[in-house]
Amino acid sequence: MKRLLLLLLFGATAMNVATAQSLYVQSLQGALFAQPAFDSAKVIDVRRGDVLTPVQLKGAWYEVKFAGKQGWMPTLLVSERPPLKTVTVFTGNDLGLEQKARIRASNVTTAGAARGLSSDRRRVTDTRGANYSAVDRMDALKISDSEGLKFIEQGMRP
Amino acid sequence: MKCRTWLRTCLAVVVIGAGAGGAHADTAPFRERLSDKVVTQASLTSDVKAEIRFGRAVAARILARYPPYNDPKLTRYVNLVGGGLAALSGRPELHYHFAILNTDDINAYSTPGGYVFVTLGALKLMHDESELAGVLGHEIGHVTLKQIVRELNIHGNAQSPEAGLAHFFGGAADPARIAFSQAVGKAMDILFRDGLSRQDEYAADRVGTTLLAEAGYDPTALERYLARVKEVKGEPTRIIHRTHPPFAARIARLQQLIAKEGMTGLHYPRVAARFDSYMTTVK
Repeated sequence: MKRLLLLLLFGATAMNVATAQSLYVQSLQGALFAQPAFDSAKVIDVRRGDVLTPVQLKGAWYEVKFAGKQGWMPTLLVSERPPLKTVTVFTGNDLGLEQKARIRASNVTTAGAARGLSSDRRRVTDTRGANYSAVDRMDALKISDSEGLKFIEQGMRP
Repeated sequence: MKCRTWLRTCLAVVVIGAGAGGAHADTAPFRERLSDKVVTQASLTSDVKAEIRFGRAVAARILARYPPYNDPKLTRYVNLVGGGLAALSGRPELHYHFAILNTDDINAYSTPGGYVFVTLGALKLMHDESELAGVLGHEIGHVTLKQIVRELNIHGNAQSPEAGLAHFFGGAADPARIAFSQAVGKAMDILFRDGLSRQDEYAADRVGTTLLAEAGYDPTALERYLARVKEVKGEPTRIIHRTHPPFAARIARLQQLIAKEGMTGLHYPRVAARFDSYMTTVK
């Protein structure tokens, strides 16, 4: 009986890997390795959005099939859903919840204090110390994926 | 009795396993309706928008605590290195932004949505670009793994990310705002007082080192940098000691990772000369 259940258990686990959805490369570029190790040979290059067929999961590596080849890729660089496009939020004059929260903090703090929400009051009061202009400057500096990767690659050249 | 418990456990695992397999089959692309796909994409996008808005608010608080270090050339350099690493990470939906904090504290921070900070004190302690990449990669790891997002349950809804954030306090307008502020305060508490769990930090170390290897940097860079931070005593490392696992444990885990994942034999560059050329005004 025990043996039968163990067999069932093993079978169910194997079935999960076999029926898993396709995996999608999230990293802008990468490679499949011959073994689940970075010092093994590179089998084939992959790019963001490439669809991989999973074979098995071993530690932090997926064994996958792609373009007639089979190899290993770190789980970090793939996902079960296709890569999303870059998402941005409108930050112009449209006050988001974060700014509204800041503006209204003092009113709410007063009301909260009246109800005895002392720890919440302390947190809300702290929100006045926010430097959104510096965040805007961070947002304004845009480096494209390819620009960043090219810069890194340039640094590797002797 | 013992045997019965064992049998029950086995059956439960089998049922759960089979269920998960079925779920995969149900959501396979050829079974998906277009309307389902649209809702799913909208929901995902809404979650990301909520995350970015939340992350901006936390970033604004960090930048109020420590002013940004205004050196456009060095800031651009950090953004180029960080941007290149981020391109290799698992969240193409985010545009990462990097800044230097003008403090002698030795630390680095990240907020949901892709806002990453490294202190001037940390930069001064680094020896080369690979160490900078290791630290930025660790912070990208926190974002990639959505650790604060999950800890504080940040999500949007398909119609409006802000409506989703209202779940903090039941949905009414003012309570939603105060709840948002509370969540931002909690995130600050995590970053500066309580820290994430040890497992979260180890996971971010793993991401940082994996990104080093993927990008072609010396994969021992983060380990080398942590060994140096470990020796710094006093005020500059007060917060990092309080919010992170012991350095010896982190270094030991990194060494295990490097050996296990075939990184020991990789003799990738450290890119010291370029790092020094950007750091001339600082050091």
